[in-house]
Amino acid sequence: MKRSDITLHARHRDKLQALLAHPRGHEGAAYMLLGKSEIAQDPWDLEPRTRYTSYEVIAIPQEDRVDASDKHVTWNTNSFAQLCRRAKEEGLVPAIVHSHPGGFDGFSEQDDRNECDLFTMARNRNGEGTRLVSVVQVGDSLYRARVWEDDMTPLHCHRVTTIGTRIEIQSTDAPPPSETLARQALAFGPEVNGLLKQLSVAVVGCGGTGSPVVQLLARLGVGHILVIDDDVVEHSNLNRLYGATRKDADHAVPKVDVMAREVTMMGLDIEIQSVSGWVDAPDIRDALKSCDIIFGCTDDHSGRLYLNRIAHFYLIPVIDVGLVLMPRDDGEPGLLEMAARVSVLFPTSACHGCRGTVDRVRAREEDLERLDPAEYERQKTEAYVRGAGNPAPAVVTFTSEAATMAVNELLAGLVDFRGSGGWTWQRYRKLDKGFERSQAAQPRSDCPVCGSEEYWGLGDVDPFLDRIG
Amino acid sequence: MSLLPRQDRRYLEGRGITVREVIEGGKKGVILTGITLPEGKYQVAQTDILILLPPSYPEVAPDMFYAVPHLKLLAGQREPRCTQVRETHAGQTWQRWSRHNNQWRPGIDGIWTMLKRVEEALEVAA
Ligand SMILES: [Zn+2]
Ligand SMILES: [Zn+2]
Repeated sequence: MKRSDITLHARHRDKLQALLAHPRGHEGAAYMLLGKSEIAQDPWDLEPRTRYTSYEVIAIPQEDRVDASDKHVTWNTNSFAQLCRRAKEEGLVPAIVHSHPGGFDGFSEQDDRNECDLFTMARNRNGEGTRLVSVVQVGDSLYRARVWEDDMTPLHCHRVTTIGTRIEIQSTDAPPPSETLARQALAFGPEVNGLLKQLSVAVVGCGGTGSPVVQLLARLGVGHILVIDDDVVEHSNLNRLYGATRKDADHAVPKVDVMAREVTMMGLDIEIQSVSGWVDAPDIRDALKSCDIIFGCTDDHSGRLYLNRIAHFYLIPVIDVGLVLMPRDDGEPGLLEMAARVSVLFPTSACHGCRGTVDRVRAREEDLERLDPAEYERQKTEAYVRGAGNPAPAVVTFTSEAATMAVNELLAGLVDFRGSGGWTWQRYRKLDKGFERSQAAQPRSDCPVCGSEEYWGLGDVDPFLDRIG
Repeated sequence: MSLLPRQDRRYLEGRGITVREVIEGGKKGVILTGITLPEGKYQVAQTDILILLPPSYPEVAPDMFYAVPHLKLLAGQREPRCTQVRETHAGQTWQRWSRHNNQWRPGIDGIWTMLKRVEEALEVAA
């Protein structure tokens, strides 16, 4: 059976909880509009699947409410027709949400009949291919969901994930406890191992920071890892590339192959998939959309802008790692600045552009260099483009420290080990001075990505990510 | 399938400008057809303008633009400055207008900004 799951943005979950609450424990109801992410082939089980992302929560107008008790809720469907109209116009999926305050964990026969009627209404209005998602809030905070694609049987969603500054997974197929991770459970409790096992995590860039990130994710017990890079191992990488050998460099083995080989050899029951290519290649889009978290381990500004959009369109947190090792400018050896930065990109926080962690002119030059190397070289001689400078300094202890910071940010999203309620949006660690600070940046109101909610959770659009690509 | 972001499409439709989307290898761009030139300045009254769009557009700026036919100033019977380079796109040889663009405000600027830059460049060309 085709799998589907739902990601709720935490702000939508909060709004739903407020709308569904009733002082006398009556059932409540609300609407949602969802974005849709069609994955033609999941990189691990190779099956097609769909992920829905929360786009907007809509209250049912007071005048449409007919009746409610602790056993039922009914409302007029005028506003439902409005919902369907918007869904059609904006390419979204309509959803109805109701609560079971008494704690009944499932859909009742009454729910089956009501939803089937609403689905039929929606399909009559919006035509073939119409879908209707139904979400039930069990008690105060447990969510279950299903999807109507025909009027016979709804498809059960195996998972509802809520993401804000934490990742909360509510699944109907939780994995059994793992022997190898028992010592980790002693630190954080057994739940965290189950969460890690269920995660699909992409690592974009498998160099100095990416390769230790892959190693750490595997040993933490992340169930599904996807590695993406278009580079091969070179001798100059061997000072920092975990798992790479001289032989790999001699034979110019793709970095992703080294990552997959090393993780497989660990024998930890981790499913690792590798893709060699540029991160915006059409065959890689699907793979990225399948993931729950993406680590951005590249110094490529164009790649950063791309992942920045993925985070906002698909509600997939991007943990971006940057290392600043700036050589002295007087010709002497040594570093002027040494620092590691870890940023989490996700709607409600500032994006790469607004944080100043991406250089857009450089991004354009990288695009040109990749797509038309001859023209890039020509423009370089004409001084139209600046060209990349000398090779950047790289020290394995610094790249590994940045990687550890990044993976700990993921952990902070799963288990509150810092006591501060989830991840920090941006940490900046001075490697020479030994201190760290968290940095705040506000979304700029005119920013196309983070300054408005237009793109947050929108999912698939044409063109992809509403950019040229 | 469409190439342009939604705001650009809305703008061009609103202005009634005919656009051809071109995709050639990895390169993508739009040809704006029949752009009216300043009167009495060039050897022709109208031109087609090609704008190549980088993958990260509309967050990053397009750079130069290209014209067909190759424009000549009536005054002096010569090409304007920095238009001597030729490039082939979409089966035609284009006159490259090397006008550098690093002033770009993501979220505010779009195809309308680029069109304005083109019109200004054509107006002040010497
Ligand atoms: Zn119910
Ligand atoms: Zn922004």
